[in-house]
Amino acid sequence: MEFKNVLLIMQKEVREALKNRWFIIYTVCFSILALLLLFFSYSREEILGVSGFGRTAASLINLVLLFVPLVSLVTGAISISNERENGTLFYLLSHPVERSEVFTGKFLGLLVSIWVSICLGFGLSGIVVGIKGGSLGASKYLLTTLLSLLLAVSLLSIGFIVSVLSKKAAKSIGISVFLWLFFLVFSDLGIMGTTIVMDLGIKPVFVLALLNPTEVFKIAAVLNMSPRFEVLGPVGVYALRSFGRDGTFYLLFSAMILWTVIPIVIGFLAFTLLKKE
Amino acid sequence: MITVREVTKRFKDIKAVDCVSFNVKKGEAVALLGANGAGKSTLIKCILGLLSFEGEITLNGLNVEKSSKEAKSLIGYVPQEPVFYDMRALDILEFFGAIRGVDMGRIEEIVNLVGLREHILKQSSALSGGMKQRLSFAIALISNPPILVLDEPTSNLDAYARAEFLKLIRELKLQGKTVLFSSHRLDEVEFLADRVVVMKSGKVVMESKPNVLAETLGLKVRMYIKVPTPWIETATDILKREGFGAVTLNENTLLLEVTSREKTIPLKKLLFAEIPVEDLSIEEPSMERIMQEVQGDGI
Amino acid sequence: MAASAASGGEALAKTLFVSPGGPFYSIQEAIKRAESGDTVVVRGGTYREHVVLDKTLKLIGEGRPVIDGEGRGTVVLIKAPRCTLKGFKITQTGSSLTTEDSAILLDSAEESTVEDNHLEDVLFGIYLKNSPRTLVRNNVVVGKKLDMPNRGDGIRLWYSSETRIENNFITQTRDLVIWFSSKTLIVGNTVEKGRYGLHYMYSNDNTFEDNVFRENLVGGFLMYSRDIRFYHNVFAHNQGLASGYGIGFKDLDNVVAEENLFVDNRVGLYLDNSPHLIDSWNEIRRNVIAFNDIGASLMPSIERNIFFENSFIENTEQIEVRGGGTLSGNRWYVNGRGNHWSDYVGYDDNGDGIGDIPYLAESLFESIIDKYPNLRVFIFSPVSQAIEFASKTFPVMKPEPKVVDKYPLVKPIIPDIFKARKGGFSGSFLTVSIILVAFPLGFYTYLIRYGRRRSGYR
Repeated sequence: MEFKNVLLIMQKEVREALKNRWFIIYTVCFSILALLLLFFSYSREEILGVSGFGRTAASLINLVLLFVPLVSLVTGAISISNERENGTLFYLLSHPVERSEVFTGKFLGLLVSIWVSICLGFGLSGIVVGIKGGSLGASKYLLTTLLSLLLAVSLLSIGFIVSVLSKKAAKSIGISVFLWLFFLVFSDLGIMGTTIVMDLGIKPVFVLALLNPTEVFKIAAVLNMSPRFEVLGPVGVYALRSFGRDGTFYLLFSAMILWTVIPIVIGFLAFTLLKKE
Repeated sequence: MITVREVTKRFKDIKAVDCVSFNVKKGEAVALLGANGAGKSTLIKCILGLLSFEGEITLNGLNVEKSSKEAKSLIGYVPQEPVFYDMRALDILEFFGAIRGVDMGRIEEIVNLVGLREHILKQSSALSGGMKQRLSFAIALISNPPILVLDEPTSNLDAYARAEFLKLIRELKLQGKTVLFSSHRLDEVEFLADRVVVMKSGKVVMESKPNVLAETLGLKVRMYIKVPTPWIETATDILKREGFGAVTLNENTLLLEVTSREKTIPLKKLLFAEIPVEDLSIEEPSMERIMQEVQGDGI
Repeated sequence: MAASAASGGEALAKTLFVSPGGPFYSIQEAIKRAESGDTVVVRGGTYREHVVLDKTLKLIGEGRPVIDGEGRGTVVLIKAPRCTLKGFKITQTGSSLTTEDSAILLDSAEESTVEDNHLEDVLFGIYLKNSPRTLVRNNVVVGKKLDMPNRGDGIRLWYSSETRIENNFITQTRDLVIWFSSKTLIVGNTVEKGRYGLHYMYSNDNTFEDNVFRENLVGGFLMYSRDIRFYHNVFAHNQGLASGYGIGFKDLDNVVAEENLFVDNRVGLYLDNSPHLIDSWNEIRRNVIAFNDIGASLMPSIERNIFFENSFIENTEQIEVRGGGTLSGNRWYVNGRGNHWSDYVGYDDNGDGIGDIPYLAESLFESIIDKYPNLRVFIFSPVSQAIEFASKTFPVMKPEPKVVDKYPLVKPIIPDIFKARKGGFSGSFLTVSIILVAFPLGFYTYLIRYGRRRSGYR
C-alpha cells in the first residue's frame, strides 16, 4: 500500500462529502440536537445546583445512539456499492492503485468526515455550554465523544461489509437500514423476549448485550455518565462485582474495539480478494 | 509488450474467455474484434488486472496479477463509456495525475493536446459526451504510458472529432506507443491497426492484417462499373466469360463481386476489350457484414 | 505541683494546667489531682495516654493538644455526669469491634458536652452509652481506613435520649446511629462516605433537620421506629450497590418528611413495610426528588403513605414497584394538590398550576424491568422507547398505572434553601470543546487542501 494513494482517495472522499452537503447537513443537525439537549438539561440543573444522571443525559446518549449508527451504516453501505454501480470504481481501479488502497482510502475518508462531524457537533454545543456554565464534567463529556467516535467506526465498517458484498446501492441501503433497526430494536427485543420466556440469568443477558455494538456503546456511555453500575440493574452489579469498575470499562472498550476491528478486517479482505468489477 | 497466454476466465460455468493467447509487440496497434459477448471486454478487464483469471498476462514482462500496480501504470485506458466523479474536470485530471505521480505542468499540456481548455473548470456532469471522451483521453495520456488500451474509443465523438482523434492515436502509435483497441468501424481498424484479433465466444478465431481481413473471411468487394449504354451487354458478357458474376443494374451500370485482391482484373479485361469505363465505385465489405460473418458459423 | 486556687468548697473550683513543660505532664495525673467541678486546661502538645474522666470536670484543650491512643483501646473514657471535653485532637484508637474501641466513650455521663474535638484515625468516634441529655457539637470525626465491615460508628447513641447532635462532620466511618433513644435532635451535621449516614434503631419520637448525608451506601436508614420527623436534609450521591437509598424506611410509622432534597442516589426513597402499624400514616411532602436512578421504590404491598407537593424531577424511573404491581393503597394528592412530575405531558388550561389531566405512571418498559430486573441493562436503549411507543399505539399492551396522580403540579416546588446560584463559566469544559472543534477542523482543512499544487488554472 502506498500512503500517497490512500491519502489521495481519502481526500477525494472528504471533498465529495463536503460537496454533496451530507457532511454539512449531518454536522448541523447533530450540533443543533446536542445543543438543545444540553441546554435543556442545564436549565433543569439551575433549579437545583446539583447535577445528576437524569433523563436528559440519557437522551444525549440516545440521540447519539439513533443518529450516529444510521449515518455511519448508510454512509458505509453506499460507499463502494454506489461507485461500483455507476462505474467509477471500475475506472479508478483501471489506474495504478491497489484494491487495498481504494478500500483504505475510502474508509478513512468517510471516517474522517463522520468523525469531524461528530466532533464539531459535540464541540460546538460544548462551547456554548462551557460559556454558559454547567457541571457536567469535561472529562466525561470528552469520553462520551470518544465513545461516539468508536461507535461510528464500528458501524461504518459494518456498512462497508454490506457495501462490498452488494452490487446495487439501493440494495445496500436497504440492508443497512434493516441492520440499524436490528441493532437498535430487534436484537434487544429478542433478548428481552428470550429472558422473559426462558428466564435467562444475569450472565447470558450481559453476554448477549455485548454482542451488539450499539448496546456496548450504550452501556459504556451510561456507566461513564453515571457513577453507579446499579443504574443497569443486577447486570450492572454483576459486571462491577466480576470485573470491577476499571475492568468493566476495559471489557466494554475491548468489545467496542473488537466490534470495530473485526468488521474492518472482514470488509477489507472481502474487497481485496473478491474482484467483482 | 502485451503477452496474453492461455487466458481463461470463468463466470460460474460459462467461459467468458477461453484459452486466449496473443502478443502485441512494442509499437504495434492491434484491434480486438468481436460481437457483444465475444469476451473482448472481459479480456480487457483481465489485462487491466481487474479480474482474476487462469493463465498469464504480462505487460512488458510484468505480470498483471502479481505486479498489478506497476503493470497498470504502463497502461492508459479509455473506457467505452467514461464515468467520472462529480468534480470539476480539472480536479479529476489532477486526481488521476497525482495517482500516476505526474508533474502538474503536464496537465496544461495534455489539456491543450485534447482540446479541453474551455471546459476544464466545468463539472464533469456538465460535459457533453464528446468532452467526456476527451477528458478520458487526457487522463489516459497524462502519464505518457507506453501502452494504450481503448475500448471503442470514438463511439461518442462526432465525425470531425473522430478524425482528429484517430490522427492523434496514430501519431502516438508512430511515436512508439503500443495500442490495443476494440472497435466496430472497419475504417478505424484499417486506419489504425497493424493486426486484427477476432474473438468469438471467448475464443480467438482469427488473426490477420486488417486490409486482408475481408478477404480472409472470404468477403467480396462490390464493384459498380459504369460504361456507355451501347457497351453494356458486351461488357457483361465479357466479364461473365471471365468467371465474374456480373449483373446489369441499369442501362449503363453493372455490379460485380470480387475478392479484394481481384479488384483490378475486371478493369483490365474491359480495357483489353476496348470498352470505355466511364466511372467506377468500390464498396468494401461493411463492418456489419464482417461482424455477421464473425458471429455466424461460417468460420 | 501548683494549683491556681486554694482547695476548699466546691464553689471555689480550681483550674489545673497540663503542658509538655508542666506543671502537669500528663492529663491523667491532673485529673487525679482535680476535684469535681474543677477545670483541667491542656496546652498544645502530644499526650500519649488513655484518659479516664471519673469525676465531673471540664477538660479543655488550648492550642489543640493531641491525645494519642497509640492504636490501643478507647482513648478518652468519661464516666462521670456533666463533664465537658473540648478542643482536643484525639487519634489512634484501637481497632477492635468487640471492645468497641472509641475516641470518646461516655458511659453513664449524662448531660455532658463534647465539643470542638477533632477525631482522626478512630474506630468509633463518639460513643454515648446511657448518657442522656448530652450535647455533641462541632466535632470532626475521621474514621480509620478500613473496609466497611471492620469500621466503627462515627457517633453512636445507646439509651441516650434527649441528646443533641449538632454541626458535626463525620467521614469515612460506619454509621451515625441512634439506638433506643427518644427526643433526640440531629441538626446541621454532614455525614459522608460511610455505610448509613443516619441510622435509627428502635428509637421513637426523634427529629433531624438541616443535615447533609452524601456519598454513603445509604443516606439514612430508619428502622423499627415511629414518630420521626425530618426537614431540610440533603441526601445526595448515596451509591450503595444493592442499596444506595437516599433514605430507607423499614417498619417505620408516623413519619413526616418535609422539604428534603434527594438527589443522584440510586433510589431516592425506599419504603419497606412502612408504615407497618395498621392505623399509622406516613406523610411525605414538599420534597425534591431529582436525578436518582429510581425516584421512589416501594413494595407493592405498601399502603398508607401520603405523597404530595413533592417534585419528582428527571429520575430515570420515577416510581418503582418492586416485583411489579401498583401502589393504589397510597395517596398521591391532598386537597386537590398532587406532586410535580418532570415527565408529565399534560397541560394546564385554566392556569391554576394543576395539570388538567391526571399523571399516570404507566410505562410498559418500566413495568417489565420492575418484574425482570435483569432487563434493566436495556434502559436508555432505543428499544425502551420502541416498547413505550408500542404500548401507546396498542392500548392492549398498556400496563396498569403504578401511580395515578389526579392533580399533578405543573411546576416543581423548590424550597429556597435548595435553590442554586447560576452555573458559571466552565474553563475545562470550554477547553475540551474548543479542542473538539479546532483540532478536527484543522485536520479537515489540511486534508482538503493537501497536495493542491498549482497546475496553471488557478
